[in-house]
Amino acid sequence: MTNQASSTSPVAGEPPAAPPQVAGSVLDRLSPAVRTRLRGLARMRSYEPGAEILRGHAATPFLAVIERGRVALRLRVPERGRVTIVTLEAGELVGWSAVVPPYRATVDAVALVPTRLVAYDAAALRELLAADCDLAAGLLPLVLESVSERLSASWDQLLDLFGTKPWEPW
Amino acid sequence: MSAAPSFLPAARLDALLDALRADGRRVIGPTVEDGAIRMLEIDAAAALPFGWTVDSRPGSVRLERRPPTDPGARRAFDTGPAWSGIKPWTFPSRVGALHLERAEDGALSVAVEASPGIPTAVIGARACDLAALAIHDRVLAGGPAVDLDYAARRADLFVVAVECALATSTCFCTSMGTGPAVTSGADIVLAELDGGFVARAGSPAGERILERLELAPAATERVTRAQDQVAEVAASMPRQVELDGLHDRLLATLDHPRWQSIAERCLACGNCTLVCPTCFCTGTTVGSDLDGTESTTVRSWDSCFTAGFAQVAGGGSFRPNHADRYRQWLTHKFATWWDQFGSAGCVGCGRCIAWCPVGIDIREELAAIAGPGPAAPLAMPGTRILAMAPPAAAASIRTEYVTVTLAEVRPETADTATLRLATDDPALLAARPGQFVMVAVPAFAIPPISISRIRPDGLELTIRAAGPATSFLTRLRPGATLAVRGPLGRPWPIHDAVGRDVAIIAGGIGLAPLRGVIDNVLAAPERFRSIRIYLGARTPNDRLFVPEMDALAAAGVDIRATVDRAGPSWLGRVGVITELFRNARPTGANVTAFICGPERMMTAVADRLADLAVPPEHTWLTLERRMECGVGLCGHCQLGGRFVCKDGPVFSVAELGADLRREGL
Repeated sequence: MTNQASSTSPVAGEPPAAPPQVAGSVLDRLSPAVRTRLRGLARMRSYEPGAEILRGHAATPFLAVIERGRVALRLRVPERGRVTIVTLEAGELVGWSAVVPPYRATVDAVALVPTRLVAYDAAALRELLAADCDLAAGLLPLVLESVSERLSASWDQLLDLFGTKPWEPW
Repeated sequence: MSAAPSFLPAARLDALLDALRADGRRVIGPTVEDGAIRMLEIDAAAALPFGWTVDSRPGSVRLERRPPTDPGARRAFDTGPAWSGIKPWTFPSRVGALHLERAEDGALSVAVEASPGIPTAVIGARACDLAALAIHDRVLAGGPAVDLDYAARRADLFVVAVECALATSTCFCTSMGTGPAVTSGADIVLAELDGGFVARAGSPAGERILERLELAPAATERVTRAQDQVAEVAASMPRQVELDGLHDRLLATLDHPRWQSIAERCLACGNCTLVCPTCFCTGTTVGSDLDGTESTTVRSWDSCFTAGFAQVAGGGSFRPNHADRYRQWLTHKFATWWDQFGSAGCVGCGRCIAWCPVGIDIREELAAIAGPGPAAPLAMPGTRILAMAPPAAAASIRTEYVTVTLAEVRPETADTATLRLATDDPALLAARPGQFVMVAVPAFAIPPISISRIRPDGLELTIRAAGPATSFLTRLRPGATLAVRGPLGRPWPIHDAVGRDVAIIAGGIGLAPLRGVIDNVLAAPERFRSIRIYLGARTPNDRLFVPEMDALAAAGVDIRATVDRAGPSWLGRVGVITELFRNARPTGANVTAFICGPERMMTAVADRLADLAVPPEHTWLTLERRMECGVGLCGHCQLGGRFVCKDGPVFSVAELGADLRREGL
């Protein structure tokens, strides 16, 4: 499965009928002018439960905001199957690696429930960012914030706070 | 006392001992044993250390015989404080604490053990010993909980004090304001001169004993000589600890590099705590018969220098390093003791200096870490020791056990079960959410267990099998009887949330102490502006009270749950509990939060809530520390100037301040 979105979604890739309005979207924090410029790239993508949105290590096809649904970020652990590290909710960014070299997803992203995304094509977005300093100055801090959140979430996971075994130095 | 000082010739010391014994007392006094001066039971004045003196230095104590030509060779008390002091007689190193016995029919009998009180007279106590006794009176018998064993032994104690005629190099009572003159706490005060003692009464009982001896009044020159002598001793001790402002200076230097360098010398042997006349921390050990039907809990002196002192069930220690433990000891003695008991915890006897095998000198360490700077911070509220508190001060914390019947055991997760205890005990039924009980069964240590529900007919306890005792409790069958002491500790301040937005935030087993809050707020939700419940657990299988929480959610209660990790079949949220607030806005000024979970989780949540503008004085959490007594007597659960068991376990983030995040405290 190389093109996950189109194979699982009957409406993938269509431009939105109306300007995408995701309640509480992280992109609301962009200036209206920047939002307008970004809107031209927006495409709606829908996913059934269990559908793969991103595949770890593969090129990230888009940066997206979750319009509704829930997305699990998963790691594949040999002999232990897939482990969900964090879930993302409506309004949050998925696919930050679309604008961060080497532009490959670090984890699998899977829809847990029926999920709709407002997606921005990776190559086109990178091109726009290179050309539009205002857009870059507005969007990249939001992307960085999302990377930082995922990093903190992963670090907190490492602590295994509710574990019952005492710590052992390693 | 009004009576003028009298003169007790040295030859009549035995008459004094006889008078003390005539009232049925045993007599304890200094005597030479094992190459040191100890306070032991003596049957004649001849057992006193006549002719001995002591050369005491950091890490060294040497008894020396005075040459026969020295006039001091005929003195009995020229030795400085005896190394063992009075403490072993008022607060013995080992006492029985609790006896539990299960009869054939399963009934449990519980007996709290305490000394019946043995009439005792101590002769040769020093001013520092009396200051230490006054401190113990406050700590152990000043309430709210009273150590019954101490109170009984203390009530029957008669003290003949001796004012020191010499100061060793380790003495610094003048710095602590405790000596060498004896100003209070003694029934009789002696000042030893060549040939005898100037004696004065310190209490009506002391006056009666002196009257019985029919002594002649002391000549004025002897009285003057005695006064000069103690003044000379005082003058021979330079000021060695600068108390003014020490409390604040010391607490401002918790990150001083010196703590680490002391730790490199300190062996963490605990000698200092064992010879200290004010150290009061105790631990309990359980001795049991082979089939576990009968056991006796023995209480022994413990030391904050031991590795296990601050360890909790599951193995983690809150003070893993020597530096943490030394800092705890020194800051307790010279800073946080003030917060807890209104005085320093040091009387300047110097025993810890002399008996430290590597010669660590607290005077030197205090000067290095918290010596007076050019700009002295706030002065402490006086340096006088507390006046003697009457031992039978009001006790408002319950110290007795009641037996309860286990009505139901409900497994919650693989390692956690809820025990429903049936009882009609009014005190237990009056428990409030956030409080805990000590749960005793024969043959096991007595763990503190938080109450997870207060019912009209009893209590529910939700217990994770973290150690042997909790494992045993979770495997009990309905019908078993248990002994329970409580309710203990400060409850959740639910009143603080009235009219506000309530956020109940629980991680893992932390939902147990909060379940009573959920019960309470949902019983009359109109009192609050809104109610939200946030739940975190390690995996979906580790969630507590799942059917109950699902039912609440179905009934419209706003419950948001997440797990740390999950397999593919879990469709709920995944992420540590702070992820539940990931996209929240800083609009929390009207929120009152109740948080319970592992400490790292609680601090992470508290940090996140602070970002969201939830006020720290409305952010409440409950701390886990080692608790053996639950009433502020055993010392294990100290966090700075707090006893987590009785001042908490519930605290606001504002109350804890920087102590919440400080490692090794």
